Amino acid sequence: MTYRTVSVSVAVAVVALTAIDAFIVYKLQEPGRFIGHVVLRLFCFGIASLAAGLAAQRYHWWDEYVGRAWTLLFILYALITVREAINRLAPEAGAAGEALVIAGNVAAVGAFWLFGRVLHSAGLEFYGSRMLKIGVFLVAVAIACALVLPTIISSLTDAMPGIRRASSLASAAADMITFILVAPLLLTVWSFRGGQLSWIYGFLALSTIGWMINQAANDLLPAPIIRDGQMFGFILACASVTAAGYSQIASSRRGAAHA
Amino acid sequence: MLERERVSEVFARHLAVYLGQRTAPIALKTFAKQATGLAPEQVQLADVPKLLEAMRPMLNTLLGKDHTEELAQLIRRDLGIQV
Repeated sequence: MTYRTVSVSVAVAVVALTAIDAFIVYKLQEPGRFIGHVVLRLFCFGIASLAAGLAAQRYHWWDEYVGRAWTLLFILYALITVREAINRLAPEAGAAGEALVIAGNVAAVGAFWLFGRVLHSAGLEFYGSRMLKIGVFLVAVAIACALVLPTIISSLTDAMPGIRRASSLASAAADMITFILVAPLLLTVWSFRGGQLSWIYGFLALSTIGWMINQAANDLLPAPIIRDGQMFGFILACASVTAAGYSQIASSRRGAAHA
Repeated sequence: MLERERVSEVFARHLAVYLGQRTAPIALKTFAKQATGLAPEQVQLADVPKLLEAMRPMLNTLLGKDHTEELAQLIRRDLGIQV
């Protein structure tokens, strides 16, 4: 499968799964709607975990730079898959779910920190003018602040149990950092454009953009389509991580130069 | 002259597959200077082992150790260097 085919597959999967959620799952009667929704979300999280885990395994887990980044991304998606299952199927075990969220968010920051610094760690620099680099970072910081600061403020001011507050703050802080780290990812894509590695970092940047859409949907969309917007962002994020993992594995195969 | 051009061209071609047409020449220039003190066009066949060693940390980071070794073998093969 070429990288362009992977891109088309991601687009088709995102549209198809969002449509299935909006036009089939959401129109079901309970408990069918609940079951359908849980299955769809677990499928998306699970396939992203699997792709990240396979990429980590291909790069020897913690032994190599890229392997460490994929290991952390695998931990993130594996933990939020388990947390999703706990939240939906055993909500009385809420504290365990919140602890998983905190651990997952630490892993998320680590993963995107490593991916964002890959060019620097390789001894190279971002391609492009100083203005371009500063501009991309400023836009990322502005978007991150606009999307996440209200959540941080409400996490600090709203009345909630301690573990819930810690989990909410960890999620918001991780969102803020990973949204800002989309800047080095985009600059990495720009630096590698035309090369195989640009696809991997492009899909990773797209996954962060998916989570941005998921976050923004609540504030920016009219009420009837908030849920669709959130699901679109969520599915885009999971599909993009899956595509990034596949591309990372594909780029390491013998003869990948001809893909 | 033909040989000198060939060495840098082979490196640039292989690196561009992964790094793209913009960053591959920059990487080649950076590591040719670091390993040999020469511009890429001045690198000779005898400099190839040093250049590959200088590039190894970059390639390990970006491609992983297994694929770095495969790439180094491909470059040596295209340059007609016996492993």
